Amino acid sequence: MLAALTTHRYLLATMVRREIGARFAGTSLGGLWSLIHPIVLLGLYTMVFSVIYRVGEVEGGHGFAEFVFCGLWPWLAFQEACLRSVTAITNNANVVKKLQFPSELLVVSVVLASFLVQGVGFLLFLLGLMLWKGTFIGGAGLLLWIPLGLALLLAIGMGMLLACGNVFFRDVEQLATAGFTLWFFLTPILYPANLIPESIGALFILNPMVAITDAYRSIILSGNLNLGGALAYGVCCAVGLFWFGRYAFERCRGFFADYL
Amino acid sequence: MSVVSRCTESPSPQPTPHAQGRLSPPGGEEVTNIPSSDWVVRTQNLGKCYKLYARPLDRLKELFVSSRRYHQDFWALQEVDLCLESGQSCGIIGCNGSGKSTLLKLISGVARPSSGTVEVAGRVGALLELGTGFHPEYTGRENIYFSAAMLGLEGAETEALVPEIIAFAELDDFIDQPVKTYSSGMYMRLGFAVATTIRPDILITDEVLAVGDEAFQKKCIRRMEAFLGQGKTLLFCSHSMYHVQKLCQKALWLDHGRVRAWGGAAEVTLAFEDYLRGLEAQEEQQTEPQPVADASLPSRLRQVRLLGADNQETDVFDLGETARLEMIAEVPDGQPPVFAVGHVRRNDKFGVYGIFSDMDRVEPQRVDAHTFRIGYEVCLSLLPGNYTFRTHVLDPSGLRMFDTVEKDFSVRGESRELGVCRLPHRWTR
Repeated sequence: MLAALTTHRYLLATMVRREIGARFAGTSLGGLWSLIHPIVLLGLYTMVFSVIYRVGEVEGGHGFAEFVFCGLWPWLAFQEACLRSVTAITNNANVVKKLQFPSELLVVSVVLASFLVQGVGFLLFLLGLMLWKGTFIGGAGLLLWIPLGLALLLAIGMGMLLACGNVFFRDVEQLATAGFTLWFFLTPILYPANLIPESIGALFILNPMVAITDAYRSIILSGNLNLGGALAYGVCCAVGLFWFGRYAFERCRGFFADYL
Repeated sequence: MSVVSRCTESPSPQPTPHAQGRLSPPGGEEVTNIPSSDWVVRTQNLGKCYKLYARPLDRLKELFVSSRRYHQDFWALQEVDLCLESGQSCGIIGCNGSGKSTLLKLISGVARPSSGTVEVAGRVGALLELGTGFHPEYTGRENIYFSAAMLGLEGAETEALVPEIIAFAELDDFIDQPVKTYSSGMYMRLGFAVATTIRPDILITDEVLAVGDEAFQKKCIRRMEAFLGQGKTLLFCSHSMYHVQKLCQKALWLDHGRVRAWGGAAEVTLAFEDYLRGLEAQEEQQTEPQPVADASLPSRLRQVRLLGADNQETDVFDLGETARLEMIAEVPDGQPPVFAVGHVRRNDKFGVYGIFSDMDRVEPQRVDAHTFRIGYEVCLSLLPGNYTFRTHVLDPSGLRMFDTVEKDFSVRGESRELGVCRLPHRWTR
């Protein structure tokens, strides 16, 4: 598939551009919508937890809003990429059935488009945060590529599995929506990982998004990255899922035209 | 006509087997070397089987729960051996559901064969549907770039072709409007223009000419003819025998997923049309009651012989050959009877021509007191197909028909003429 990505650079770029364009086509606010949704969520969580529950400072003296922001945006990119991938093949049935072309690009382009759109919002807010706090992450910011790369691999792997699954069983679409809501709350985004009770700790160890969210957060808030076992597990998961998703997709590709 | 061809051409280097599920990029470098005289498309024992499930849940059950078979196999295509050389055009004909589209899907690589192999050498431009992948919100120009990218072109390559595409599609004024504002005719023109302008080596089209007005159809045909003139290969699926005869040298007739006939376009399409007329006639027969035969027949035809030019009995003639009928009738009252001959196309019982001996003021020859004989010679200008001579004997006034004997025969030959028979004609200028 990597070969396909390089030989079809131009096609992939065209598809990503079209995917982003189509997402906002016909709306008057256009790309602004990609900012509005996370802002509303961020405001909502801040109001519920900071104002109503009066959660003060979390983990090393950071405000609740900036704490949530670090985890929320990367999660939204990941979730949007996966959920849109689910229908990447089924929604393009007419193309998949009528044209011989590298169909994995449908998934990859959806994932890239989601990360690009959310990435722009993320960078804008990161800039705002730094101006507001008066601190600049500087060189540590380059480390952001590590969790970003992991999240991308994970999303492409997940996306391929979900897209294939949905071709054969349309239930996957419904299942994924529910599953990702659950996954969101099982990932330490609205709460710090150290608040998780020992008794259910095992449930969180298996979640690769824990390591990725932690990595984002520690790079932005404290300017360092803890290269521990959790991150190593995250790397294994991301690479493993990417490879498995690609493999499964390759095996299923020939049957798409029959089942769509 | 050979039923089912076995291809014996020598194998060509570097085939691109879709069957192994390898991703072959359309227009990828490794497949662009076309062998000049060898095959371009080759299928061997090709088959496609669909699994039919009664309910979606059955598929899950079969996968995870039990080892019981929940599906029914449906073979949409079986044992297709096809071999096309470059520059050849092949029409694929058959009734609905005979597997035409499945075959095109397998050759274009969209679907994977269940058995056998497909090999294609060259860039395939598959036109299974016009305007595949167009996005309604984007302009025509943007869709050209996207569509061309899907077919394997780079931006710069497309750039060079855009003027030609716009000109062919006749969309100069609308090309920067969103495609959703296009009429269906504009949409189809654009789709056809993109797919054929990218210069594929093999063009696969499925019923695209069935849509569109006559002017557009003519334009498409001209373009396909030009395409063939460049030594490219065309695979063309159509219900229009006229288009197949006009564009294709070869034709493949599929019937319930199997090859019914494969050969020259003219003979295969004629055979298919014959078959279709047969189906129609069968339906008519089922609805119309059969006339009851008259029990008391005073006169009867004792012998009817159909002779060829060499005076031997035959039932096969070449177009333009002379056929001779010899009829002997027994007439109880000894009065010279009237004979009649009808030329009938066999499958739909279409009466091509009929003549009575008394119309030509010919009296039969008396053999003895109760036996009469007559000969009938005709130049068979009938177009190739299956026919019947219907011979009758009537009473002397030519009003009551007593007996009928039918003689089947067929006319051989290759002809792309249309209709039933060849009328004497000449072209002037």
